[in-house]
Amino acid sequence: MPSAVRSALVRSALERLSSPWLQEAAAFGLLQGRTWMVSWPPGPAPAPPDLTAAIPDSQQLELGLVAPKPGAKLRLEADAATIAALIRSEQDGDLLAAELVDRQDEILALYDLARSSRNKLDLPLTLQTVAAEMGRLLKADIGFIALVPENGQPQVVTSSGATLEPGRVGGWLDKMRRATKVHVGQDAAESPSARHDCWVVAPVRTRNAGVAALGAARAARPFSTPDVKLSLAIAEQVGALIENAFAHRENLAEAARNAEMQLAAQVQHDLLPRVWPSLPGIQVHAAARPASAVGGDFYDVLPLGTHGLFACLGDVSGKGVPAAIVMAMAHAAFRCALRTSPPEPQWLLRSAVGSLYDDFVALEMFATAFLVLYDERTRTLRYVNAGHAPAIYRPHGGPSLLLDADEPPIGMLASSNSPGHVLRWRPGDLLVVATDGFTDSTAPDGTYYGVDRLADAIARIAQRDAHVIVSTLLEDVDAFRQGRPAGDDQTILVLKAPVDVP
Amino acid sequence: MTSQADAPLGSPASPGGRILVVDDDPVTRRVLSSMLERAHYDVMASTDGHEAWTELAAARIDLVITDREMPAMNGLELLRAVRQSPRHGGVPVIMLTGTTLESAGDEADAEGASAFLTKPVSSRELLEIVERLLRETTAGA
Repeated sequence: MPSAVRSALVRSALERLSSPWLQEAAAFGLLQGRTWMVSWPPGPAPAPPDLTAAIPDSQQLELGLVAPKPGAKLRLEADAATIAALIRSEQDGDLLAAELVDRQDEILALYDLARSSRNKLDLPLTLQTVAAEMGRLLKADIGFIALVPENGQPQVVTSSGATLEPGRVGGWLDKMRRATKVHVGQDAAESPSARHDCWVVAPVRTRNAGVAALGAARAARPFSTPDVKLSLAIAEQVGALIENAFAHRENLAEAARNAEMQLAAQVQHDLLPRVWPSLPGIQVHAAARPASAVGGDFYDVLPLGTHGLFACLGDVSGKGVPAAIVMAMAHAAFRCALRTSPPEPQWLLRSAVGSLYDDFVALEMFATAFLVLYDERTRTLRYVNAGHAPAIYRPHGGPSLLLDADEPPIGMLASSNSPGHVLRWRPGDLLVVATDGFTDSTAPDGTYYGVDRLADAIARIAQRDAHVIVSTLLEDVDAFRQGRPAGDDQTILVLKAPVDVP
Repeated sequence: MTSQADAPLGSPASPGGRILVVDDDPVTRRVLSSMLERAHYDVMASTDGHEAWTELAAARIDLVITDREMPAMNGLELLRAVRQSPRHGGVPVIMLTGTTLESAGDEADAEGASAFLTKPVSSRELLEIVERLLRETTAGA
């Protein structure tokens, strides 16, 4: 019996019609296939009807009368037409209600999917949830998602742990790269699952998370238009879920990288001297500012017995982690040379070149270096310059002199033959060694800071103490850049002979 | 009126059982009925507790799904009446509500509701609970 006949509305209408008919007939009711389904007056089923009127478009339903008065036919047919209209209305209502149920189920399913995935930032767990929900929501035997991350290996996850045909999944992933709509079909040869002939596959759009295909398969029951719409709605939601999982993974990796870089920066910082040797005839101070977390500039200052000190400043080619690693190598090489070589700058350089040359050649890197030894007894500076600039010597009262390189940078030649140089170190003399990150700093209009500007700045503050000169020159170059980020590491070493040396 | 069986007009005997849906909202009533009919349950519908009580007296009902808030004889009153009835006391009653008050579930529990659901309910969730309750009733009979 059609469900519409069970409706309260139709039942009520029949009951209302029965009262007047019972004034003009012995019995009234509804029949199907000549059998009374419901009848009035109450009691046993009446005799077979004497007059019937078919209810149009119904499943053999008729209104029937037993022993009607003459002239009932037209009215009975009119009542049958009214009941037919009611049944159609009820059937339309049933269809609308069914559609409403489907849509409500979809909305609730998407809500459930969003809720169940809200805290799932782990990619494998997200894919597993998505595959399971796809199978469940599509009432399929198997739900699946296949994902090819950018620069990654394909991942296929199924709701039941079942395996799909790798070749077919690969083919579907290729199709999904260009697809804009859901593909649906009933063809075992095309199905991603060899055991299921009916399939639906939807493209999943992601930003920066690769291409994905979301699908479901089942046996013998083709997917319908509502299934296609639901697949598309799920796919749109899944795209965001995958992006979130990828973003979370990237964030974790970024946090790990940052932690490592902070550690590296701390290690590099710890390599730099924190105590400045103190001698009557010389003040020494230095500072380094890497452009990123770690850099390739370095300096070192160490006392030599009770009457001297060693200072050096270097600049490794390149930037970032590779330069920082090579910087640590150079730093260690000079420290080692100080223990094993005669305390002359040219010997220290030769030792360092011998230690570093092969590695630098293999790494295709080099480093400039300025090495200087101060002797309190002779009040002299002895230095050697391996490709470094700028090194500015300003005797008391000026003018400034550039101390040119007399050796190529470390890593260019297998040995060093510089005889070294000697400067008399008088009260008020000043030596400033900086890296090119200083002189190559640019103003917003593209003008370079340059050696001349550095020399001018030095001239203005040459009478100040070493640590003031360091901080003032850093401030000067900062002011020159006017907020532009430093493009390179900036390191400066200052040696100053106090004016009032005893 | 005479019909050929205890079931509603001409309906074939439902293998799942007969369910009475009680809700004053016609859309909800129709949606719930549609969910249940698609699962081949035999469905009757009432618009309030009074009408439902009349239906319960007139026909065999295997399970009742009732809204909590209704103008005449609300769901809690219907539930109370069912539980106090010697004839219907064992009929499973699912209480539905649109309220978000947590106490609503506690009240339904206290009155002996077999299950408590908040609207909107998915067909899957509803059918799972209906099936379970009918199975438990059959097993306990």
